[in-house]
Amino acid sequence: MNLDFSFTEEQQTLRKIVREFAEKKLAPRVREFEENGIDYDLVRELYKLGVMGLSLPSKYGGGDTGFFESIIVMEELARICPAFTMAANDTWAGAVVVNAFGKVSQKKKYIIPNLKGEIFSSFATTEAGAGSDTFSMQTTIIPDGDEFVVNGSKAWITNASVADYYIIWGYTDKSKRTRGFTTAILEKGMDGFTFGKKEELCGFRASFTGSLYFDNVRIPADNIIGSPGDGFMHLMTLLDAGRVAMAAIANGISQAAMETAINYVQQREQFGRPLADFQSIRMTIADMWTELEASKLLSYKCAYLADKNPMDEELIRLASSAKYYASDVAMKIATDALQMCGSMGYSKEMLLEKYFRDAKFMAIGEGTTQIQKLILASRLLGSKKVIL
Amino acid sequence: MKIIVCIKQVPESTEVKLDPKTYTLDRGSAKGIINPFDVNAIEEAIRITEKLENVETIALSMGPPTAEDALKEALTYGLDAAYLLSDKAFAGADTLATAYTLAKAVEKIGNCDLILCGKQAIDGDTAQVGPGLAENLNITSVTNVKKIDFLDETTLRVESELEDGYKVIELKLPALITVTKEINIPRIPNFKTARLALKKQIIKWTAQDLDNVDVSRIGVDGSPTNVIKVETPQITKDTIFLKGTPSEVAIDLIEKLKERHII
Repeated sequence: MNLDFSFTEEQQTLRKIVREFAEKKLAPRVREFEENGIDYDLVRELYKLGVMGLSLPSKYGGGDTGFFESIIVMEELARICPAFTMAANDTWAGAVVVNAFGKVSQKKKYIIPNLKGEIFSSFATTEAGAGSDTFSMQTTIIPDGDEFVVNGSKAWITNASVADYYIIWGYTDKSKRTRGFTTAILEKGMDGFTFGKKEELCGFRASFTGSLYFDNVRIPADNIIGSPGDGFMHLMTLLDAGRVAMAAIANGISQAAMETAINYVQQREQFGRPLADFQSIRMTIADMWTELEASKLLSYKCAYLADKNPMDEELIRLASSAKYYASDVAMKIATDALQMCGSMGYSKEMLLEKYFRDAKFMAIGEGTTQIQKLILASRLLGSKKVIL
Repeated sequence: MKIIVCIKQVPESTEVKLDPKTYTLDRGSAKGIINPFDVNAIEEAIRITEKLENVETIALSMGPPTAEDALKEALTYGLDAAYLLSDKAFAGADTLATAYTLAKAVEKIGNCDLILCGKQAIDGDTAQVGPGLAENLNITSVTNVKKIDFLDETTLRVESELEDGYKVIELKLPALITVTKEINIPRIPNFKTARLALKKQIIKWTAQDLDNVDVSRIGVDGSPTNVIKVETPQITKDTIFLKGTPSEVAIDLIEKLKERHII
């Protein structure tokens, strides 16, 4: 083993810059975003700051960094507002897909303006009837001359109606099962492409989450990524990164909840002394910190493996592990932190009730905790078959 | 045009503790940051580069080796170069000795048109180094500036804050300006700029690297003043709080000092 647990100077600088942005520009608007939704001008400021799309090639406006740097950005933003983080990350998630599997013409058309903050993307797989059971989706992408016709819908999509281009998946030939699965790019404004209302969620309320509807949407063949039938391979390659990203967001929530509680219990006094003097509080704080550190290390190792070899078997196992562990830790820390702060924690005067609501989503989005465990167990038991 | 921005690494004020034995700041107890007013000075230098052409910007600091971190951070804002004056011979310097030493460095860098400083450091709060540096260099200085405009390449119009207003001053370069927080809101460094900055080398000078240095004017030997103690006034039952407008409080204070034969 050749272990070095330190962050590079560049990574430390990145964390400092994002933290400053999050604390000065994002923190004052957290409640406003919960009420009214995210102000995407603030997302554009992140692009100007040079911290978005870091893992993409510099010739398209990226930073040529590893995935690790993106994890740092997400952790720091999520420490202040996880919904903003998820939305901001999603605005260039489409560029990741195009960069990995697209033609040069697609890269120039979408990645360059995306990384300037001029257009935003959205990543759409889930359907009303296809959540954990991804491949039961009904959306079709059928060839017709030199175009493809898209019919179907997607549900629970981040940046729905806000994004300019959408990476979607659907069947070109269902009889071929996963070999008939295709990746396509749709653009806002295409005939037949409409949006549902913004969903009212328990947490992540700032996020524009909604449905996409495709009614005979005709797209040029140039909007197919790779070839028809490549979609399964695309999705399987990308899912691990999405899981690790969610782990980073969950860790940000945990960090925020833990810090809030630790600060509070040092000030709040009962029975003549600070709450921090009581053993039960101290035990909980020790647990919080230890579990969060363990969770962070899992996600950091995933990022490290992703930068070495995104197809590494260990990464596939660890990504599921990191995602569900971080989700469990976030829910536990948010719950304990709120409990430690009592009625104040339960009130909207503090943000703990928001962290509590946000933390719950982490066990659901981007693959539920149950699915992550099934995937992990399958890999551990020697079967590479995806759960269908 | 060449602009030098003088910066100081100071302890983060919310974390620093007092040494219980010496009653001075225990600088090791808190992380070092760039003096906040100096960040305004850095931002102003960068803004000048965005308005004018052919502007070179340099950060200059005197301090222990750890001050290198502050200079690295200064570079991430987009400054072109950074110099650190660090030598045991400089240790213990008060504002007089510091101003002299910085002046020697400015002379060695050469051809400086404008020096920007924060109006004061948050650890010492003297606000003396900027004007002292200008005196050593025999150049014009204006303090507490909240606005800088260039009338032409060598003429500035600045607004200098007063207690109840500001004065407008026109001056010729070379000059030294100390800036207040009102002058700008510093940007958050762009990460791409910061990455490039991390590759830059900080030039380090000792006393021997400077030219024509009078060693009796640097460090402890050059410091007629010495901070003996830093303390917070203790509030007791005899403490009197004076209330009113600043003018009313001043009159009241004078009366009370006279009653006690202090003045």
